[in-house]
Amino acid sequence: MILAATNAAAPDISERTKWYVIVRMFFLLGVGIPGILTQYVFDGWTSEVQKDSLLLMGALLSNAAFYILSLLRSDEAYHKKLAFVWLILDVALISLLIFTKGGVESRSPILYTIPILMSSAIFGRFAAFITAAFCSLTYTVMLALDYAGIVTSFGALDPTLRTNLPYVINSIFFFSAILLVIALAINFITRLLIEKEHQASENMRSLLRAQEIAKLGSWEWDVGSDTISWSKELHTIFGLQPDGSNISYNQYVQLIHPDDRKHVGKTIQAAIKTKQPFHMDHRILLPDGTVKYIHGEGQPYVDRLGGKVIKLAGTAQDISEAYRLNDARKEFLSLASHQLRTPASGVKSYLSLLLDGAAGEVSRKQKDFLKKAYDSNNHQLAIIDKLLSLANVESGKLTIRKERVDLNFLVSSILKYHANEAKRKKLRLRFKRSPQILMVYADPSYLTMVIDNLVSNAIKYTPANGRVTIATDSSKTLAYLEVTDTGIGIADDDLPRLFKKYSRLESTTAGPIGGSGLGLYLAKYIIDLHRGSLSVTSKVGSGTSFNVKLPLSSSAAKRAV
Amino acid sequence: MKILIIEDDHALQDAYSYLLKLKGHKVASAFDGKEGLKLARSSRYDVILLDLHMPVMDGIEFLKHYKKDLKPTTNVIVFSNMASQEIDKTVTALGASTTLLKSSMTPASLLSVIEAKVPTKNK
Repeated sequence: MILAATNAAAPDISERTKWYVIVRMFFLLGVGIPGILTQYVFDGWTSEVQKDSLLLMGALLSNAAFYILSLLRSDEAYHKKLAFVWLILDVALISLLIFTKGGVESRSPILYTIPILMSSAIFGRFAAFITAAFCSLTYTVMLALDYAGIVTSFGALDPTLRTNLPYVINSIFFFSAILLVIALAINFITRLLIEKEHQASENMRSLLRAQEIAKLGSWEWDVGSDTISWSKELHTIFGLQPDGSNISYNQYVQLIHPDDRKHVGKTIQAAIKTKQPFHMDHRILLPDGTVKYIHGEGQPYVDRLGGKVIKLAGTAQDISEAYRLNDARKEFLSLASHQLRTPASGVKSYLSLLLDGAAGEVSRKQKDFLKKAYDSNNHQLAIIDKLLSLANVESGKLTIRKERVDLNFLVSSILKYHANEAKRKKLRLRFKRSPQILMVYADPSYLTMVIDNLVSNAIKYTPANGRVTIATDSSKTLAYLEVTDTGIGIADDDLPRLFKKYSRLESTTAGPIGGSGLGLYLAKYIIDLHRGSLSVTSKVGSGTSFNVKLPLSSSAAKRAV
Repeated sequence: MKILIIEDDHALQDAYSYLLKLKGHKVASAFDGKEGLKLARSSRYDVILLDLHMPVMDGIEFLKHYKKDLKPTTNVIVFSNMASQEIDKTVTALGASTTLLKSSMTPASLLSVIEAKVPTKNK
């Protein structure tokens, strides 16, 4: 919608000319035909009626001529010249009509409304007053000529009135006043119309400014005629002359970065097929070699029967700057976590040397403290790992290396690490191991990260004397892993946020519990990469259960073949 | 066992060489790839422990230069905090036998990896 208005010029003078032709036609037919008919009914086909009919025909023909001439050219100056000539003709014709139907006693001067209306439409609202004055003057001159007896050939209903000076003067004032009122009214209406028009073009200008500021352009693709109309800003974004010209779909595709053409084509074809709104990010390659990042949003429109997509419309925004910033952020995140790892690894090395007694015997108390320092350091390294995985996820670099993994064995080895912590918190940590061997096709290090995260969360959020149970099971094609706790639980409102990035639930009962808010986000991401699923059920106060489903190795292999 | 540690971080270099020496291995230290290359070419090592991110010459560059001199009896263990499938592929193609993530290892666990690689030979 935006676009149609952007490209169409503001309602121009030829529009107004057309409008005027219609108004005049209604006037002529509405006033002329009933008058002629009335006379015909009462007097028959008299010479008076014949004359009037001819006049009406002439007026209609002149109207048609005016319309045809107005179509010849579209420039403003031509239309103004044309309108001026017709204005004079109109006034002359109306004056003639008035004085053939009687002068002073006639109500016909009301017909002057037509040229007044036309002049204000074409030449601006103040022209209404000038035309009104001109019409009054013509009327006065005609009456004066009549009164003086210079022109007496005009037919009149009551000749005595024309020689009655006070009546003549009265008539002139009366009609001049009426014409003034008409001019005022027209002036007022025109002003309202102009203001509205001005408002519309001001709205259009601010819309264009907004597009410029947001670096956001809009487009409409008429599928049938294969024309894409673009807003000015879109031309600028794509590095084209902002001349408002249309392009075809194939021309548009040529502007997209060669590596992204397939993706864009697929997205658009899918939108046409599903008739659903779409969005996509892609690059464009400018003629000068610049690469820009574009975020596009679009919506298909179907025909009235709802069957066929006839139009697509949407916006495209230049997000290059945001993209570069985001790239820099990812780069920073990745670099920072690499850099953080080295000193943290140094701490780990020395603590483990001390703990292992490599530097001599340590007392029990010392060992206890060293163990605490070692655990904190491990925690720190785990957070760094998560940050790095996040950086990889965001840059699309996280790739998994799948191999056959014994799920039960993996769980047992993870639980060993958590035994002490559970004991310290007086929790019962149980593994309900399935009797079958569960071989899954997975990346062992990432799967460890996920299970480790679920188990440490369960321990973290379960108060003393509670239970944390890990259970495994299988169906024909799937391996199941369930981590259930008797912890504080998660409110229903919080469940949808659980797998979002950086979402740490601010539960009052959770108390001061550390975490990066990344674990579950990454867990879900990783399980999805394995074509599995991760879901949760929870009840506040009674506990939470996380469920992992992974394809069994044989079925995964079968699917892969 | 003769071990060459090429690692720019002094703290880590010291921690690992301390334990390895304590366990009776001969340890040589280099703090960048160039220095490592000089040592590696002048003597034969059973194990080269190689960091990747280093000044002057990084681990990948080291491997590129060293590949033709690499003896089949020498195990190159890439020991780095930069882990990705890409890096794994690259260093394996360049002759490394194992890649280990630094942050997940301790001197003791590294020792067991090394000793598993080179079974009680020339200890």
